[in-house]
Amino acid sequence: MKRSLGEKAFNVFNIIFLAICALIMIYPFYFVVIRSVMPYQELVQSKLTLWPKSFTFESYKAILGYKYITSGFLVTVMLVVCGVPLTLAGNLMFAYGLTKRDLPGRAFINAFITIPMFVGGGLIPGYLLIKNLGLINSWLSIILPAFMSTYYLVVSRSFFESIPTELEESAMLDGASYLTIFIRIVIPLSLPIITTIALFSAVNRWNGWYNAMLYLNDKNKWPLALVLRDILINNNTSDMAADNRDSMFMMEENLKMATVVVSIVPILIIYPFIQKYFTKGMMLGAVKS
Amino acid sequence: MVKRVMAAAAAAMMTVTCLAGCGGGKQAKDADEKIKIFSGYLGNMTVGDDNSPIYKTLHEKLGIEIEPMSSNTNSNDAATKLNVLLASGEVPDIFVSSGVDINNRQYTQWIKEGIVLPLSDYSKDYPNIDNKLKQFDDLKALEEGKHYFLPIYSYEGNNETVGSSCTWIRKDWLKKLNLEMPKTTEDFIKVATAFAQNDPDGNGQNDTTGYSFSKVYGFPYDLFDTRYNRFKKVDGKWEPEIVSDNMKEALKAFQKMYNSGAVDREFVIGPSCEDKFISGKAGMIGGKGMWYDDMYEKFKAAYPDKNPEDMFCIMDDITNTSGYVRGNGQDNYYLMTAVSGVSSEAKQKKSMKLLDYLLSDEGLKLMRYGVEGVDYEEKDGKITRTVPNDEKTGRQKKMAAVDSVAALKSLVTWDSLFMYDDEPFKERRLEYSKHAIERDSKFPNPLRYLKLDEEKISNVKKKELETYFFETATNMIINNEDIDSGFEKMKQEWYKRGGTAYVEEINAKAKEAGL
Repeated sequence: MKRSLGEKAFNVFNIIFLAICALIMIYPFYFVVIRSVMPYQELVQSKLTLWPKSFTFESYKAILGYKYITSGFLVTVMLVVCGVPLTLAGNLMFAYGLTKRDLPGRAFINAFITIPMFVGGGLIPGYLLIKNLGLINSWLSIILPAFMSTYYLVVSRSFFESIPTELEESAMLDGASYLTIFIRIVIPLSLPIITTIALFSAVNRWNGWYNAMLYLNDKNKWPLALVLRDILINNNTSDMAADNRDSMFMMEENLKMATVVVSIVPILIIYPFIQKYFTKGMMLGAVKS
Repeated sequence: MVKRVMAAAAAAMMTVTCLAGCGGGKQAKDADEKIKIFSGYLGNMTVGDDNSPIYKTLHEKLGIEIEPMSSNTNSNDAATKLNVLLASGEVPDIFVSSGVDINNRQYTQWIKEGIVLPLSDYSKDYPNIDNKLKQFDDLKALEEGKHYFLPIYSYEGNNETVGSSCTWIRKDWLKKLNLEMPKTTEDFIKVATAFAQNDPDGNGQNDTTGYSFSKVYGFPYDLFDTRYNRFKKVDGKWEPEIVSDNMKEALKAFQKMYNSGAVDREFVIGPSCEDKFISGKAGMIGGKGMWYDDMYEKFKAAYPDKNPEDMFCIMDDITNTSGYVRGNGQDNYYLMTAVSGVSSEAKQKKSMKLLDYLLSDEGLKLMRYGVEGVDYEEKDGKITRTVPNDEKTGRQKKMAAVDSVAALKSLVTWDSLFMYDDEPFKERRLEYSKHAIERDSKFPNPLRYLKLDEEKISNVKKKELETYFFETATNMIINNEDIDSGFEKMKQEWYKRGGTAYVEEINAKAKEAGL
């Protein structure tokens, strides 16, 4: 198909415009990566350099050797690995149940789960609950509060409602129970929403620090996000050098940048693989026919 | 498929069960016995199951067990967490907060509700606490006539007011431009202007500034004999310096320096002054003489082929426009430690005992040097540390890095003048610090201990007045507006917005206090 001059010009403009947008998005991350490997001597010159004269990986060595980063990383991985399946299992089963019109008290349950979305319990009652459950300084204090989410419930319920009921009815005629239908029909058809919730939940757990700050007294139990916050916000690189501030100062800027890279990369790696499902899930959950 | 799903569910349940086991079983058992300590400055302190000789010594001497309740090193996070704990009724046995510096309402409420123990009622049995509280006797005026908070002192000695600030200046720039070390405010402006306009780095570009500081508060108002947060007695009445004639002159000089580039034009956005100083973009910045070693090492790393001592130094004290060196006296404490007023009597006694011990010479020595025979040897009064070296610095590790329990020292002191013998530039840093203390201790805030009526002038209102003033002043400076006429307008507005009530309340309370 032959394109007119106007169309070609429009395409060229589009390409240039989008390339500039992409550059604006990519540059901050590129800047962070470059600054993380730039030697201090160049760093203090405060010039916006696209490519450093030499590289140093001292900051990465320091980070990977820092016990709280390592423990934080392991804790976060554990929180994601344990927390995401729990969130999925709880929310999906609950949401599926709510799609059944013959569920006794369905209207009440719907209201019950929707109200906290608008009126939260508050900080103090939340703390008291965790304390009375004996979960202070336990990882469960981080895992359990994020176990159920009204948002995930509503999104997945809307998704399940879009699955044709005829599929379930035919399975029932073949003698399938609700559990069998859920596991063998609904779950396989719901990969987009499962991936979306899994990603949301994983990212939330990966970045979550507030509950850990409140409930975990032992620094060895801190997740990565809280350790990074400690380094980035407090400029607390001193602890990293075991109270020897002067031995680490020269890497402070590198360290900060390197910690950002270390925290972002794992999530960044996952994104491309599930992006397809992720987009689909968002769209499917959004519109109900 | 069903089997696999069932297996996954079972695995998930097992994981949850295992994690539940991570909860505080042992803690609960011993909770009643242990002294729970909350502080944002305990670092990575771990006690109980580790091999801390300091902890063992404390246990043997005082018969106490400790449970740290926080590792938060961010003061905002620590304050949030403390508020949640107190609101939940879980008052730590010992806790660190801003004490009387939070705001009147909050700590007065703590006192009313009995959350904090009146330390001075019990201090006669604890001589070291008693002595320390006497040093800060004036604080009682803010605490309903008693001491509820133990100030965490910065420097040893009996000073109630101290200081630590200095100004770093590029020595090589002075030399290159053939300038003398500034001695007066006039010299300071001259040097700053030369640094901005005479290409001190010789790169042929107009890319340097004289004095870099962050935010409008950072301008050196003392050089013009004024401060925005102080009052001065004029003809028997306390007048706010923020709207004084000296402040007007300071702002006029500020504007002039802004226009010439003698002060950092980026001050509004809060630039990284230290980076600018080291990278050769600013010729002077504020700092602390105690951190000379830090600055030295940074210069050394940035310019490996040069001698840092030829590049920067501490600027001499400046004689201000009124003809004297004006210091900026600060409290000799930062944060305060409280003992729970709702803990059992036995725990309160143990808490007091611990604080008293930490304040003693013996306790301080234990926190600084650790345990004799383990961390150091002592012969004829000379201490020889035996702790391992830090790999990077090659110097012996600091005590908190060897034994995390040494961080308990921060419940009573920051020990800011203490250094080990092998620390770099020890004598010089001490000299700088002592000089700053001597200079600034002569300038305490005489109205520091007036407890103002919150109904008449609240902390929020005070902050609003300050914000109004600085926003208006910044606009005048940046937009090159006439300071003379603008200042008068701003002064009237400041009084109208609550300044009058503020000044009246200050004067009424000062009169009551005989000031």
